[in-house]
Amino acid sequence: MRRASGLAAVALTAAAIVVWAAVEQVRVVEREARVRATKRKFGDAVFVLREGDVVDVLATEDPWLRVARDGREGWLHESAVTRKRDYVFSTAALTRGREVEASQRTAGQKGFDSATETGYRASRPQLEAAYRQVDALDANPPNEARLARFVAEGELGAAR
Amino acid sequence: MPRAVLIGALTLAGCAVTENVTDTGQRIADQAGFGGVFRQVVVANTAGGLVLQSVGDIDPDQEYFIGRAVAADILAHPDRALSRRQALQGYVSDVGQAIALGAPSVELPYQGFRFAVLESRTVNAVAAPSGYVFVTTGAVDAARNEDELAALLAHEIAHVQLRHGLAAIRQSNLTEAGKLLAKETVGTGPAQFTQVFGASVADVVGTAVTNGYSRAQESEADRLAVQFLAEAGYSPRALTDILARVDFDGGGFRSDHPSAADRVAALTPLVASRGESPGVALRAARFGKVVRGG
Repeated sequence: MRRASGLAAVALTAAAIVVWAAVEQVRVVEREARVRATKRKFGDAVFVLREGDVVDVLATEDPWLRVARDGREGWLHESAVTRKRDYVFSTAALTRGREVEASQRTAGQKGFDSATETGYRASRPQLEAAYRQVDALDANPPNEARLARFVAEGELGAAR
Repeated sequence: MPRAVLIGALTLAGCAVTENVTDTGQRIADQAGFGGVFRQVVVANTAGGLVLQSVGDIDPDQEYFIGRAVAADILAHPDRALSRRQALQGYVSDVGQAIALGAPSVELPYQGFRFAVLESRTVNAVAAPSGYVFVTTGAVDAARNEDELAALLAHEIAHVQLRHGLAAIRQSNLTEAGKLLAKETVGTGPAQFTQVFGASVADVVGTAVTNGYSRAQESEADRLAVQFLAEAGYSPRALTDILARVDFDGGGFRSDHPSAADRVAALTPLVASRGESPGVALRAARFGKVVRGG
Protein backbone atom coordinates (compact mmCIF):
# COMPACT_ATOMS: atom_id res chain seq x y z
CA MET A 1 0.00 0.00 0.00
CA ARG A 2 2.76 2.38 1.01
CA ARG A 3 4.67 1.46 -2.13
CA ALA A 4 1.61 2.07 -4.31
CA SER A 5 1.03 5.52 -2.87
CA GLY A 6 4.70 6.30 -3.35
CA LEU A 7 4.51 5.34 -6.99
CA ALA A 8 1.41 7.46 -7.41
CA ALA A 9 3.21 10.43 -5.93
CA VAL A 10 6.11 9.95 -8.30
CA ALA A 11 3.71 9.69 -11.23
CA LEU A 12 1.90 12.84 -10.20
CA THR A 13 5.16 14.70 -9.82
CA ALA A 14 6.32 13.52 -13.23
CA ALA A 15 3.01 14.60 -14.75
CA ALA A 16 3.31 17.98 -13.11
CA ILE A 17 6.80 18.38 -14.52
CA VAL A 18 5.55 17.47 -18.00
CA VAL A 19 2.71 20.01 -17.73
CA TRP A 20 5.09 22.67 -16.39
CA ALA A 21 7.56 22.02 -19.17
CA ALA A 22 4.82 22.26 -21.80
CA VAL A 23 3.81 25.78 -20.79
CA GLU A 24 5.39 28.24 -23.16
CA GLN A 25 6.68 31.49 -21.73
CA VAL A 26 6.99 34.73 -23.65
CA ARG A 27 8.18 38.18 -22.67
CA VAL A 28 6.60 41.58 -23.19
CA VAL A 29 8.38 43.97 -25.58
CA GLU A 30 5.95 46.88 -25.42
CA ARG A 31 6.51 49.54 -22.79
CA GLU A 32 3.13 48.66 -21.31
CA ALA A 33 0.69 46.00 -22.45
CA ARG A 34 -2.83 45.50 -21.16
CA VAL A 35 -4.14 41.98 -20.81
CA ARG A 36 -7.75 42.04 -21.91
CA ALA A 37 -10.86 40.22 -20.77
CA THR A 38 -11.85 39.73 -24.43
CA LYS A 39 -9.95 39.44 -27.70
CA ARG A 40 -9.81 43.11 -28.58
CA LYS A 41 -7.22 45.82 -28.10
CA PHE A 42 -9.32 48.18 -26.08
CA GLY A 43 -11.91 47.81 -23.42
CA ASP A 44 -11.77 45.99 -20.12
CA ALA A 45 -8.22 45.26 -18.96
CA VAL A 46 -7.67 42.45 -16.48
CA PHE A 47 -4.15 43.48 -15.62
CA VAL A 48 -1.22 45.43 -17.02
CA LEU A 49 2.18 44.10 -18.03
CA ARG A 50 5.39 46.03 -18.56
CA GLU A 51 8.36 45.53 -20.83
CA GLY A 52 10.34 42.47 -19.79
CA ASP A 53 7.52 40.77 -17.87
CA VAL A 54 7.22 37.03 -18.44
CA VAL A 55 3.83 35.39 -19.01
CA ASP A 56 2.67 31.80 -19.52
CA VAL A 57 0.89 31.09 -22.79
CA LEU A 58 -2.18 28.95 -22.14
CA ALA A 59 -3.67 29.02 -25.63
CA THR A 60 -3.24 30.68 -29.02
CA GLU A 61 -6.00 32.07 -31.23
CA ASP A 62 -4.11 34.05 -33.86
CA PRO A 63 -3.29 36.91 -33.32
CA TRP A 64 -4.28 36.51 -29.67
CA LEU A 65 -2.57 34.68 -26.83
CA ARG A 66 -4.36 33.50 -23.70
CA VAL A 67 -1.79 34.33 -21.04
CA ALA A 68 -1.43 33.98 -17.29
CA ARG A 69 0.74 35.62 -14.67
CA ASP A 70 0.47 35.57 -10.90
CA GLY A 71 -2.82 33.67 -11.02
CA ARG A 72 -4.53 36.06 -13.39
CA GLU A 73 -5.50 35.32 -17.00
CA GLY A 74 -6.52 37.24 -20.06
CA TRP A 75 -5.91 37.90 -23.75
CA LEU A 76 -2.79 39.56 -25.09
CA HIS A 77 -2.05 40.52 -28.71
CA GLU A 78 0.91 38.49 -29.96
CA SER A 79 2.69 41.61 -31.23
CA ALA A 80 3.21 42.63 -27.60
CA VAL A 81 5.59 39.77 -26.89
CA THR A 82 8.77 38.12 -28.11
CA ARG A 83 9.74 34.47 -28.14
CA LYS A 84 13.41 35.30 -28.68
CA ARG A 85 15.50 33.95 -25.81
CA ASP A 86 18.36 36.32 -26.66
CA TYR A 87 16.26 39.48 -26.78
CA VAL A 88 18.03 42.40 -25.12
CA PHE A 89 15.65 44.63 -23.22
CA SER A 90 15.98 48.36 -22.70
CA THR A 91 17.95 49.74 -19.81
CA ALA A 92 14.71 50.91 -18.25
CA ALA A 93 13.26 47.41 -18.31
CA LEU A 94 16.43 45.85 -16.94
CA THR A 95 16.77 48.26 -14.07
CA ARG A 96 13.11 48.63 -13.17
CA GLY A 97 12.31 47.79 -9.62
CA ARG A 98 15.68 46.57 -8.49
CA GLU A 99 19.23 47.63 -7.88
CA VAL A 100 21.64 46.44 -10.53
CA GLU A 101 25.33 46.51 -11.08
CA ALA A 102 26.79 49.07 -13.46
CA SER A 103 27.83 46.25 -15.75
CA GLN A 104 24.24 45.04 -15.93
CA ARG A 105 23.09 48.48 -16.96
CA THR A 106 25.71 48.40 -19.67
CA ALA A 107 24.31 45.09 -20.87
CA GLY A 108 21.11 46.98 -21.57
CA GLN A 109 22.85 49.60 -23.67
CA LYS A 110 21.43 49.14 -27.13
CA GLY A 111 22.87 52.07 -29.04
CA PHE A 112 19.60 53.73 -29.94
CA ASP A 113 18.18 54.36 -26.47
CA SER A 114 17.28 57.10 -24.02
CA ALA A 115 20.93 57.93 -23.30
CA THR A 116 21.60 58.38 -27.01
CA GLU A 117 18.51 60.54 -27.34
CA THR A 118 19.78 62.76 -24.53
CA GLY A 119 23.03 63.29 -26.42
CA TYR A 120 21.21 63.81 -29.71
CA ARG A 121 18.92 66.44 -28.20
CA ALA A 122 21.83 68.23 -26.55
CA SER A 123 23.58 68.45 -29.92
CA ARG A 124 20.46 69.81 -31.64
CA PRO A 125 18.90 72.47 -29.44
CA GLN A 126 16.78 73.62 -32.39
CA LEU A 127 14.74 70.41 -32.00
CA GLU A 128 13.97 70.89 -28.31
CA ALA A 129 10.58 72.55 -28.74
CA ALA A 130 9.53 69.83 -31.20
CA TYR A 131 10.77 67.10 -28.86
CA ARG A 132 8.59 68.55 -26.11
CA GLN A 133 5.63 68.23 -28.46
CA VAL A 134 6.56 64.60 -29.05
CA ASP A 135 6.72 64.15 -25.28
CA ALA A 136 3.21 65.57 -25.06
CA LEU A 137 1.97 63.12 -27.69
CA ASP A 138 3.55 60.25 -25.78
CA ALA A 139 1.88 61.42 -22.58
CA ASN A 140 -1.54 61.33 -24.22
CA PRO A 141 -2.53 57.69 -24.77
CA PRO A 142 -5.95 56.91 -26.24
CA ASN A 143 -8.88 57.24 -23.88
CA GLU A 144 -10.34 53.77 -24.26
CA ALA A 145 -13.77 54.55 -22.85
CA ARG A 146 -14.13 57.45 -25.27
CA LEU A 147 -12.84 55.30 -28.11
CA ALA A 148 -15.37 52.58 -27.33
CA ARG A 149 -18.17 55.15 -27.66
CA PHE A 150 -16.66 56.52 -30.87
CA VAL A 151 -16.50 53.05 -32.39
CA ALA A 152 -20.03 52.14 -31.34
CA GLU A 153 -21.52 55.43 -32.54
CA GLY A 154 -19.76 55.02 -35.88
CA GLU A 155 -21.02 51.45 -36.36
CA LEU A 156 -17.45 50.30 -36.73
CA GLY A 157 -16.45 46.66 -36.79
CA ALA A 158 -14.94 46.37 -33.36
CA ALA A 159 -18.26 47.32 -31.76
CA ARG A 160 -20.12 44.45 -33.40
CA MET B 1 34.11 40.16 -48.13
CA PRO B 2 33.70 37.91 -45.12
CA ARG B 3 30.10 37.25 -44.33
CA ALA B 4 28.98 38.59 -41.01
CA VAL B 5 27.46 36.23 -38.55
CA LEU B 6 25.19 36.94 -35.66
CA ILE B 7 24.70 34.17 -33.22
CA GLY B 8 22.48 34.28 -30.18
CA ALA B 9 23.14 31.48 -27.74
CA LEU B 10 21.34 30.64 -24.54
CA THR B 11 23.44 29.34 -21.70
CA LEU B 12 22.60 29.20 -18.05
CA ALA B 13 25.13 31.00 -15.95
CA GLY B 14 25.61 31.96 -12.35
CA CYS B 15 24.37 35.10 -10.69
CA ALA B 16 27.34 37.18 -11.65
CA VAL B 17 26.85 39.63 -14.45
CA THR B 18 29.73 39.98 -16.81
CA GLU B 19 30.59 42.18 -19.72
CA ASN B 20 33.46 41.26 -21.93
CA VAL B 21 34.56 42.75 -25.19
CA THR B 22 37.27 40.99 -27.08
CA ASP B 23 39.66 42.37 -29.64
CA THR B 24 37.73 40.75 -32.42
CA GLY B 25 34.54 42.41 -31.39
CA GLN B 26 32.94 39.55 -29.53
CA ARG B 27 30.51 40.80 -26.98
CA ILE B 28 29.16 38.79 -24.14
CA ALA B 29 26.43 40.27 -22.07
CA ASP B 30 24.50 38.53 -19.38
CA GLN B 31 21.01 39.59 -18.74
CA ALA B 32 18.43 38.69 -16.16
CA GLY B 33 15.42 36.87 -17.46
CA PHE B 34 13.20 33.81 -17.06
CA GLY B 35 14.07 33.60 -13.42
CA GLY B 36 17.73 33.11 -14.10
CA VAL B 37 20.49 34.61 -16.07
CA PHE B 38 21.11 33.90 -19.68
CA ARG B 39 24.02 34.84 -21.76
CA GLN B 40 23.85 36.49 -25.11
CA VAL B 41 26.78 35.90 -27.34
CA VAL B 42 27.16 37.95 -30.44
CA VAL B 43 30.02 37.12 -32.73
CA ALA B 44 31.36 39.75 -35.01
CA ASN B 45 32.69 39.50 -38.50
CA THR B 46 36.41 39.32 -38.99
CA ALA B 47 36.61 43.07 -39.55
CA GLY B 48 35.89 43.41 -35.87
CA GLY B 49 32.44 44.97 -36.03
CA LEU B 50 29.06 43.73 -34.98
CA VAL B 51 26.58 43.94 -37.77
CA LEU B 52 22.96 44.89 -37.46
CA GLN B 53 22.15 42.86 -40.51
CA SER B 54 18.80 44.39 -41.27
CA VAL B 55 16.05 46.54 -39.84
CA GLY B 56 14.74 43.30 -38.38
CA ASP B 57 17.56 43.57 -35.85
CA ILE B 58 16.19 46.90 -34.59
CA ASP B 59 14.10 46.14 -31.52
CA PRO B 60 10.81 47.94 -30.75
CA ASP B 61 12.38 50.12 -28.05
CA GLN B 62 15.17 51.19 -30.40
CA GLU B 63 12.60 51.92 -33.11
CA TYR B 64 10.77 54.06 -30.56
CA PHE B 65 13.73 56.41 -30.10
CA ILE B 66 14.30 56.65 -33.85
CA GLY B 67 10.60 57.39 -34.30
CA ARG B 68 10.66 60.13 -31.68
CA ALA B 69 13.57 61.81 -33.45
CA VAL B 70 11.86 61.60 -36.84
CA ALA B 71 8.65 62.97 -35.34
CA ALA B 72 10.61 65.84 -33.78
CA ASP B 73 12.18 66.58 -37.15
CA ILE B 74 8.74 66.69 -38.76
CA LEU B 75 7.35 69.00 -36.07
CA ALA B 76 10.40 71.28 -36.10
CA HIS B 77 9.64 72.37 -39.67
CA PRO B 78 8.08 75.87 -39.61
CA ASP B 79 5.35 74.84 -42.05
CA ARG B 80 4.29 71.81 -40.04
CA ALA B 81 3.08 73.16 -36.72
CA LEU B 82 0.55 71.15 -34.76
CA SER B 83 -2.97 72.37 -35.43
CA ARG B 84 -4.51 74.25 -32.52
CA ARG B 85 -7.98 72.93 -33.36
CA GLN B 86 -8.27 70.60 -30.38
CA ALA B 87 -11.61 69.12 -31.47
CA LEU B 88 -10.02 68.20 -34.80
CA GLN B 89 -6.96 66.73 -33.09
CA GLY B 90 -9.15 64.57 -30.86
CA TYR B 91 -11.34 63.46 -33.76
CA VAL B 92 -8.43 62.46 -36.00
CA SER B 93 -6.86 60.61 -33.09
CA ASP B 94 -10.13 58.73 -32.53
CA VAL B 95 -10.30 57.71 -36.19
CA GLY B 96 -6.69 56.54 -36.12
CA GLN B 97 -7.08 54.62 -32.88
CA ALA B 98 -10.30 53.05 -34.15
CA ILE B 99 -8.12 51.43 -36.81
CA ALA B 100 -5.00 50.78 -34.71
CA LEU B 101 -6.95 49.23 -31.85
CA GLY B 102 -9.96 48.00 -33.82
CA ALA B 103 -8.19 46.02 -36.53
CA PRO B 104 -6.77 42.78 -35.12
CA SER B 105 -4.00 42.70 -37.74
CA VAL B 106 -2.51 46.00 -36.61
CA GLU B 107 0.53 45.34 -34.45
CA LEU B 108 1.04 48.01 -31.84
CA PRO B 109 4.51 49.55 -31.63
CA TYR B 110 6.47 49.98 -28.40
CA GLN B 111 4.23 52.70 -27.01
CA GLY B 112 1.25 52.42 -29.34
CA PHE B 113 0.19 54.76 -32.12
CA ARG B 114 -0.14 58.53 -31.85
CA PHE B 115 -2.05 60.64 -34.37
CA ALA B 116 -1.79 64.39 -34.86
CA VAL B 117 -2.88 67.07 -37.31
CA LEU B 118 -0.39 69.52 -38.81
CA GLU B 119 -1.56 72.98 -39.78
CA SER B 120 -0.52 73.02 -43.42
CA ARG B 121 -2.18 73.67 -46.76
CA THR B 122 -0.16 70.93 -48.35
CA VAL B 123 -2.15 67.76 -48.89
CA ASN B 124 -0.23 64.99 -47.24
CA ALA B 125 0.14 62.41 -44.51
CA VAL B 126 3.33 60.94 -43.13
CA ALA B 127 4.38 58.50 -40.44
CA ALA B 128 7.49 58.18 -38.33
CA PRO B 129 8.69 54.78 -37.11
CA SER B 130 7.08 53.45 -33.94
CA GLY B 131 3.69 54.89 -34.76
CA TYR B 132 3.75 58.69 -34.96
CA VAL B 133 1.24 59.48 -37.71
CA PHE B 134 0.71 63.01 -38.99
CA VAL B 135 -1.89 64.31 -41.41
CA THR B 136 -2.11 67.88 -42.68
CA THR B 137 -5.20 70.04 -42.44
CA GLY B 138 -4.98 70.19 -46.23
CA ALA B 139 -5.38 66.42 -46.43
CA VAL B 140 -8.21 66.39 -43.88
CA ASP B 141 -10.01 69.03 -45.91
CA ALA B 142 -9.44 67.02 -49.09
CA ALA B 143 -11.18 63.99 -47.60
CA ARG B 144 -14.91 63.84 -48.30
CA ASN B 145 -15.81 61.80 -45.26
CA GLU B 146 -14.48 59.93 -42.22
CA ASP B 147 -13.79 56.76 -44.20
CA GLU B 148 -11.48 58.61 -46.60
CA LEU B 149 -9.63 60.16 -43.65
CA ALA B 150 -9.39 56.66 -42.18
CA ALA B 151 -7.93 55.45 -45.48
CA LEU B 152 -5.10 57.98 -45.26
CA LEU B 153 -4.33 56.97 -41.68
CA ALA B 154 -4.58 53.23 -42.43
CA HIS B 155 -2.02 53.64 -45.21
CA GLU B 156 0.39 55.34 -42.79
CA ILE B 157 -0.22 52.69 -40.12
CA ALA B 158 0.70 50.13 -42.76
CA HIS B 159 4.01 51.90 -43.50
CA VAL B 160 4.82 51.77 -39.77
CA GLN B 161 3.93 48.10 -39.43
CA LEU B 162 5.92 47.21 -42.55
CA ARG B 163 8.86 49.18 -41.13
CA HIS B 164 9.31 51.08 -44.39
CA GLY B 165 10.81 54.08 -42.61
CA LEU B 166 13.42 51.96 -40.87
CA ALA B 167 14.24 50.26 -44.15
CA ALA B 168 15.62 53.59 -45.36
CA ILE B 169 18.48 53.43 -42.86
CA ARG B 170 21.62 52.71 -44.80
CA GLN B 171 23.42 49.51 -43.99
CA SER B 172 26.56 51.53 -43.33
CA ASN B 173 24.83 53.23 -40.41
CA LEU B 174 23.54 49.94 -39.01
CA THR B 175 27.02 48.49 -39.30
CA GLU B 176 28.56 51.52 -37.61
CA ALA B 177 26.10 51.24 -34.72
CA GLY B 178 27.04 47.60 -34.36
CA LYS B 179 30.73 48.41 -34.32
CA LEU B 180 30.20 50.96 -31.58
CA LEU B 181 28.29 48.42 -29.52
CA ALA B 182 31.09 45.92 -30.02
CA LYS B 183 33.68 48.39 -28.78
CA GLU B 184 31.61 49.48 -25.84
CA THR B 185 33.03 48.70 -22.43
CA VAL B 186 31.84 49.25 -18.91
CA GLY B 187 31.69 52.94 -18.14
CA THR B 188 31.64 54.03 -21.75
CA GLY B 189 29.08 56.73 -22.36
CA PRO B 190 26.55 56.91 -25.18
CA ALA B 191 28.15 59.89 -26.93
CA GLN B 192 29.53 57.77 -29.74
CA PHE B 193 26.05 56.77 -30.78
CA THR B 194 24.82 60.31 -31.27
CA GLN B 195 26.39 60.73 -34.68
CA VAL B 196 25.27 57.42 -36.14
CA PHE B 197 21.84 57.91 -34.56
CA GLY B 198 21.54 61.30 -36.26
CA ALA B 199 22.63 59.83 -39.59
CA SER B 200 20.05 57.04 -39.25
CA VAL B 201 17.30 59.53 -38.44
CA ALA B 202 18.30 61.58 -41.49
CA ASP B 203 18.02 58.46 -43.65
CA VAL B 204 14.45 57.89 -42.45
CA VAL B 205 13.43 61.54 -42.86
CA GLY B 206 14.91 61.61 -46.36
CA THR B 207 12.67 58.78 -47.50
CA ALA B 208 9.54 58.95 -45.32
CA VAL B 209 9.15 62.73 -45.35
CA THR B 210 11.05 64.18 -48.28
CA ASN B 211 11.40 61.76 -51.16
CA GLY B 212 8.69 59.16 -50.59
CA TYR B 213 8.74 55.39 -50.67
CA SER B 214 9.33 53.04 -53.55
CA ARG B 215 6.66 51.67 -55.86
CA ALA B 216 6.77 48.31 -54.14
CA GLN B 217 6.50 49.84 -50.66
CA GLU B 218 3.53 52.03 -51.60
CA SER B 219 1.73 49.07 -53.15
CA GLU B 220 2.43 46.94 -50.11
CA ALA B 221 1.12 49.66 -47.77
CA ASP B 222 -1.98 50.13 -49.93
CA ARG B 223 -2.87 46.44 -49.75
CA LEU B 224 -2.34 46.24 -46.01
CA ALA B 225 -4.37 49.43 -45.52
CA VAL B 226 -7.33 47.81 -47.29
CA GLN B 227 -7.12 44.93 -44.82
CA PHE B 228 -6.92 47.28 -41.82
CA LEU B 229 -9.89 49.33 -43.03
CA ALA B 230 -12.04 46.25 -43.55
CA GLU B 231 -11.13 44.80 -40.17
CA ALA B 232 -11.86 48.07 -38.37
CA GLY B 233 -15.23 48.45 -40.09
CA TYR B 234 -14.33 51.28 -42.47
CA SER B 235 -14.98 51.12 -46.18
CA PRO B 236 -11.92 49.85 -48.09
CA ARG B 237 -13.31 51.62 -51.14
CA ALA B 238 -12.50 54.92 -49.44
CA LEU B 239 -8.81 54.37 -50.23
CA THR B 240 -9.32 54.10 -53.97
CA ASP B 241 -11.85 56.95 -53.86
CA ILE B 242 -9.44 59.43 -52.32
CA LEU B 243 -6.46 58.22 -54.36
CA ALA B 244 -8.42 58.69 -57.57
CA ARG B 245 -9.66 62.15 -56.69
CA VAL B 246 -6.99 63.96 -54.67
CA ASP B 247 -3.63 65.22 -55.88
CA PHE B 248 -1.24 64.77 -52.96
CA ASP B 249 1.82 66.93 -52.49
CA GLY B 250 5.35 65.55 -52.63
CA GLY B 251 6.85 63.07 -50.18
CA GLY B 252 4.79 61.32 -47.56
CA PHE B 253 1.55 59.90 -48.91
CA ARG B 254 2.21 60.81 -52.51
CA SER B 255 4.16 58.55 -54.76
CA ASP B 256 4.88 59.35 -58.38
CA HIS B 257 5.90 55.75 -58.83
CA PRO B 258 3.42 54.16 -59.01
CA SER B 259 1.01 56.84 -60.15
CA ALA B 260 -2.31 57.28 -58.40
CA ALA B 261 -4.05 55.72 -61.41
CA ASP B 262 -1.83 52.65 -61.20
CA ARG B 263 -2.46 52.35 -57.47
CA VAL B 264 -6.22 52.54 -57.93
CA ALA B 265 -6.13 49.97 -60.72
CA ALA B 266 -4.06 47.59 -58.63
CA LEU B 267 -6.32 47.95 -55.61
CA THR B 268 -9.73 47.80 -57.27
CA PRO B 269 -10.09 43.96 -57.32
CA LEU B 270 -8.93 43.73 -53.71
CA VAL B 271 -11.34 46.45 -52.60
CA ALA B 272 -14.21 44.79 -54.47
CA SER B 273 -13.50 41.50 -52.73
CA ARG B 274 -13.91 43.15 -49.34
CA GLY B 275 -17.46 44.38 -50.00
CA GLU B 276 -19.19 47.42 -48.58
CA SER B 277 -19.14 48.71 -45.03
CA PRO B 278 -22.29 49.91 -43.23
CA GLY B 279 -22.43 53.29 -41.56
CA VAL B 280 -20.49 55.38 -44.10
CA ALA B 281 -23.16 58.11 -44.18
CA LEU B 282 -23.45 58.14 -40.39
CA ARG B 283 -19.69 58.62 -40.03
CA ALA B 284 -19.69 61.22 -42.81
CA ALA B 285 -22.13 63.26 -40.74
CA ARG B 286 -19.83 63.44 -37.70
CA PHE B 287 -16.89 64.13 -40.00
CA GLY B 288 -18.80 67.12 -41.37
CA LYS B 289 -19.55 68.41 -37.89
CA VAL B 290 -15.93 68.38 -36.77
CA VAL B 291 -14.10 69.19 -39.98
CA ARG B 292 -16.52 71.50 -41.75
CA GLY B 293 -18.24 72.78 -38.60
CA GLY B 294 -21.59 71.80 -40.09
